[in-house]
Amino acid sequence: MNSFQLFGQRVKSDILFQYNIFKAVVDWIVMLYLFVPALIAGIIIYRSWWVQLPEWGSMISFQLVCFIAFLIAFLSKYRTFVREADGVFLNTHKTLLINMKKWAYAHSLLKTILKMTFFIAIILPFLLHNHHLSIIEIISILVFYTSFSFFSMSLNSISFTKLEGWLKKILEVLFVIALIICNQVLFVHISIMPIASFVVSFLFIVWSVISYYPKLSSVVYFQDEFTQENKEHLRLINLIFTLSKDVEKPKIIKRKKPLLYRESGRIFKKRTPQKGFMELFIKIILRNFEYLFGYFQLTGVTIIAIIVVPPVFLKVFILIGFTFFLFSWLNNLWNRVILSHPFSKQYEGRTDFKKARQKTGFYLSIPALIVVLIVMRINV
Amino acid sequence: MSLLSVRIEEAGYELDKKMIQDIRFQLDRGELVGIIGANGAGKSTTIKSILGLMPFINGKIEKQENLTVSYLPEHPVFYDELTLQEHIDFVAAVEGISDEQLSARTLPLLEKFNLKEHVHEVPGTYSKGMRQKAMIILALMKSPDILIVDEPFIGLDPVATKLLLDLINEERQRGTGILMSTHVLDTAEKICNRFLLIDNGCLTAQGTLSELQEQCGRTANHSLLDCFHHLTVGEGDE
Repeated sequence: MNSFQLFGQRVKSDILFQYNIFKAVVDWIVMLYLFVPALIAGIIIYRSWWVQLPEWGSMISFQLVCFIAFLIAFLSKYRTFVREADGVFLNTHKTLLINMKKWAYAHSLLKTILKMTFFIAIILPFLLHNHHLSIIEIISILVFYTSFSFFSMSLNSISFTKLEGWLKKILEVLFVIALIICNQVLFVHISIMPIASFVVSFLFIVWSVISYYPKLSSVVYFQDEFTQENKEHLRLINLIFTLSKDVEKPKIIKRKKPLLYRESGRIFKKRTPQKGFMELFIKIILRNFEYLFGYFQLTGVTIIAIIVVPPVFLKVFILIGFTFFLFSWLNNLWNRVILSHPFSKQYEGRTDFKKARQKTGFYLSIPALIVVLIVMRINV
Repeated sequence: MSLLSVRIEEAGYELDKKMIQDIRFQLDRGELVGIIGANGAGKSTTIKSILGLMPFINGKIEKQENLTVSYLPEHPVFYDELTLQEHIDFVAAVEGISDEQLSARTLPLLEKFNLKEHVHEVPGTYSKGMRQKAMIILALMKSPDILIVDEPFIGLDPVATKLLLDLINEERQRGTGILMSTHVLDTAEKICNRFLLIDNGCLTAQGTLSELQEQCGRTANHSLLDCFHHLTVGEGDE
C-alpha cells in the first residue's frame, strides 16, 4: 500500500465514522422531513438574493463579513490522519507515514480553500450589491482569509505547546483577543486592497510552510499529532456529548492540584463518618464545574420564573416546586457521585451514609433557597 | 472459626447467565490463599461475589462480625476531583481512624512508595504504577482483617513489587487473612499457603502445592505452573 492509498483509506474511514455518528443522532425521517426541505428552501432563498437583496441585508456590514471569515479561518485545523497504532510501525514505515502526512496536509489546505470559497459564494450577492465590491476585491478577500487560515493553522500547531496550566490559557485568550482586534481594525482594510492583500497573503503562506514543514517531514512530533488528530476525529461526537445533558461526559483530568483546598485542607475539623461523606460530596461538587453549573442553572431559571410570573400564588407554587426539585436533584446527584463509585458504594448500607445524604441535601439547598426567597420578597 | 466462609452456588451479571458456580472455600487468620486460573476463568467474578458487587448471587458469604475488609482492585479507581490525601482522609473518617493512627499508618507507606511529595495531587494524573501504589496505601491503611487483592503486581516496578510482598507478609504476621487473585504463578507459589484453581467458572482444585501436585499425579519437583497446566489443559498437552 502506498501513502496515497493509506491516506485515502483513512479519509474514507473518517467520513464513514462521522456519518455513522450523524446517523445515530439524526434518523432518516428527520433527514427526509427536515434537512431535505431546508436544503431546497436554502437554494430558493439564495437564488432570490441574486434577484433582490433581502431587507435585513443592510445589517450585514463588511466588518461582520470579515469577522465570520476570520472565525472560519481561525477555527480550521490541520488533520494528519495519524492513528495511535502508527506509533508501533513508525520505525519500519517512517517514509510511508511522512508521505501520508503530506497528503493530509494538502487535503487540509484544499478543504480550507473550499470552505472559504463556499462562504464567499454564499455572501457574494451582498458583497456585490450591498458593498459594491469588484471581482478583484472579492478575490482579494478570498485569498487573504484563506492564507490567514493557513497561517492560523500552522500557528495553532506550534503556539504555546511548551506552556501548561493557567499561564497557557491566559496567553491563549489574550492572543485570540489580539487577533480579533487586529482583524477588525487592520484586516478589514487590507483584505480589500488587492496588492496589500496579496503581499500579506504571500507572507502568511510563506510563514505557514516554513513553520509547519519541520513537523511535516518528521515523526518526532507523533504523540502531539496523534492527540490533536484524535481531538479532531472525535469533534462531532464530543459536540453531541456536550449538547446532551443525559450523556455522561468522560472527564479528562489535567490539573494536578485542585483550585480550592489546594493542600487537601479539610472542611470539617471534627472527623466522623458522617462528616467524611459530607466532605467528599461537597468537595466533588465544588470542584466539578458540571455539577456546580447545574446547581446555578436550576437556581437561575427559578429566579427568572419568579420575576416573570405575575400572580403571587404562582410564585409560591414555583418556590414549593423548586424546593422539592432541588432536594431531589441533590439526592440524584449524590447517587450519581457516591453510589456509582465502588470506593464509597461499599458504605451504602450504613446509617451514617444515609444521614450524611439527608444533611448534605439540606445544607446545600439553603444558599439557593435564601437567594430565591430574597428575589421573591423583592418581587411580591 | 474461619475469617471468611464462601459458599457460592452460582453467580452472574444476569439472572439466567451464571458466570461461576459451586465455589466453596474458607479463609483463616494469617492465611494467604491464591486464586489462580486462566483469563476469563472466573477469578474476578469470585472476588466480586465475595465483595457483594455481583447483581445475581445464589449462596452464602459468611464472615465474622465487625471485621474490616479491604479490597485492592486490579484497576485502581479514584475520585477525579479528590487528591490522594483527601481519599486517605475520607477512608479515615468513615472507618473511624484517628489522626494519630492515620499518620502512623499512612506516612511510612507514603514514604516507602515515594508518594509523600504527591499526596496533595489528584491520583488521576499519576502514572499507572503510582495509582496502584496509592490504591495499596488506601487498602492497607484500614489495618484490615481480610484483604482481597486482584492482580496486585500489574503495573508495579520491581522495587514496589518487593515492597508489596513485604507488606503482604507483615499483614499475614498481624493475622490478616489474604485472598489474592494472580497470574504470576512463580510468585504465588512462593508466598501462598493454599491455592484455589478456578477453571470455566468452577473450582477445579484446591489445596497446598503438595496437595495440588498429588491431585495431578506430579512429584514435588513440579511447579505450580506445571500443576496449573495439567489441571486446566490436561496431561497430553505438556
